[in-house]
Amino acid sequence: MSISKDQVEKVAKLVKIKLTEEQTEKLSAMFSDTLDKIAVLKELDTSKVNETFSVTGTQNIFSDPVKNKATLKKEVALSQTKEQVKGLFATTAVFER
Amino acid sequence: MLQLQFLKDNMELYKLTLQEALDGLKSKKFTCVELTKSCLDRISELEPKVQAFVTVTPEIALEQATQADKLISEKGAQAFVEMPLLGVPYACKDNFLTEGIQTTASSKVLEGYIAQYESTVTSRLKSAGAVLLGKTNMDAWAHGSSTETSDFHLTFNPWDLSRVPGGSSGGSAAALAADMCIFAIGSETAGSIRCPAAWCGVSGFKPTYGRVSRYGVVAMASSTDSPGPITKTIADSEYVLKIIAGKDPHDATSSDKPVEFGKELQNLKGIKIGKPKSYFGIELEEGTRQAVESSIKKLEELGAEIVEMDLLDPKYAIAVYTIIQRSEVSSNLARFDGIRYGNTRDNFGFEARKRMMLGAYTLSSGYYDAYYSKAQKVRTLIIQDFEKAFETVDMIVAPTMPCVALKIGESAKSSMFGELMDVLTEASSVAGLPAISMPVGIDNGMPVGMQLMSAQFNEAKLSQVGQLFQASTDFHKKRPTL
Repeated sequence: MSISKDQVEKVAKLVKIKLTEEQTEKLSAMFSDTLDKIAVLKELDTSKVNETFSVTGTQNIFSDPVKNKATLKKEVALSQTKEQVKGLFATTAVFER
Repeated sequence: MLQLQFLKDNMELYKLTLQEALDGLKSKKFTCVELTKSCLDRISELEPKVQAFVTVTPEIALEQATQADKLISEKGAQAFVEMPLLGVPYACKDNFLTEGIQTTASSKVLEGYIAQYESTVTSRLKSAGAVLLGKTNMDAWAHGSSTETSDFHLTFNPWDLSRVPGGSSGGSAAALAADMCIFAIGSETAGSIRCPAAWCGVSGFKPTYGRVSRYGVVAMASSTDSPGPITKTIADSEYVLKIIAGKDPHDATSSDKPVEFGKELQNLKGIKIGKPKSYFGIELEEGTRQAVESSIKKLEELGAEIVEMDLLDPKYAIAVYTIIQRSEVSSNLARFDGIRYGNTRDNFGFEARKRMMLGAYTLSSGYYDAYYSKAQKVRTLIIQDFEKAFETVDMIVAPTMPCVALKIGESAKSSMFGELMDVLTEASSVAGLPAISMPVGIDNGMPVGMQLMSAQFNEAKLSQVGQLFQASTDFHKKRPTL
């Protein structure tokens, strides 16, 4: 199965990564190779099974309001950001002024 | 005790196992500061050659060791009852958040990031009195089986510095093999504890998925990530697991099954160990095959019944793991936008880009059914295959890796090196099973590892068998000459 450079560029947009021309070419070849290798799954009949959602069978685990007390103080939460404004994280603009 | 005195006199306390270190500290043969200094000196001496660490924390380590000595002088033996790892120095893979200390997952995206909270694993180790020597190098984001994809530097295998230590917990395994620490912490998504343990000639214990909390561990594939110990003996691994395993309310996938281990076994009578044809039928290096076959005979001598059996061809697990892991990676790495913390996304290395993108592709509209959904269904088949196997055997034996550690640079050309190398560990990982890897010989100067896998939550039996094997052999005592 081959992946075109166009498809690579489309996926790069999905994961918000900028690629060089060289990387796009290299990845196109690598993805084609990987997809060929994983095509082996077609050999197995999965018509009688469901997807695995939890490998240990856990279901409906809710947060325990008493035991789950993990929280960050505001100054700790802000301590690693490169840009903050009035005690808030500064992000890229969503709307143009 | 003579041995302890010899090591102390020769400043070689770093050679001790965890059990020996605790015995020495409890009997006051040496202090915590002496033990920690011994490891720190060893790190200073060998780090230029091995490069196992991203961040060494000597001031923190000495402060913790000093505090440990103070507690021992105040409380005596009671101090060790309250804090069962008191004064024992360890190295931690750099994907565990350690509050106030740089935590990078060996990625430039997190270079300079000072962890804002503590992972559950390191928090439990801290409460138990363990001394943190530093954070070890890894494949960036745990994406790999050689530690070569670290954005910072290579780590070199202490047995042969021209070879890789394995990965992704390569720094932890290399540090331990070089006796830079008394025990180490790693994590496994598929093979990342077992592979470096095998390739560095040390013991690794991958717990059942959900046994050890993932809270505060930089996520790779959330449905298989399993933090665990890398140690000089399986007995040491059990000791560490008793402290770090167990329900954590901060990890919704952590299990509330009690963490229990068994008594020492005198022999393996009554234990059935399956030998899957499909795992031994792949291309294995001859030295690896021989060492593992020889150790299987040893297990038989100890009383185990070896049962030839069938398991699904591991080639299917490679595909299942590649799709599920890369899909989950694409989701988990989406949060790193450089806004709340860390650096921007253009700092991602090539391997991370490759995996995120393939993962996004397999999750995207039009491809989800053919890839992700199909992979999760085959995962169900793998789980059922193991469940059927464990109706007739207690555990399954296989080589950990198909060969000994590769030369540096051999991995670069492959589109999926990591996933191909982990062929023998991926099935058990996607099924959430526990497994151990132990050294079983040397091939042309390089260690060979053998693994035992068992049913979910059967760490107790694995540990019993591993400990008896190591009581009857001495492969695990060999160390490289550096």
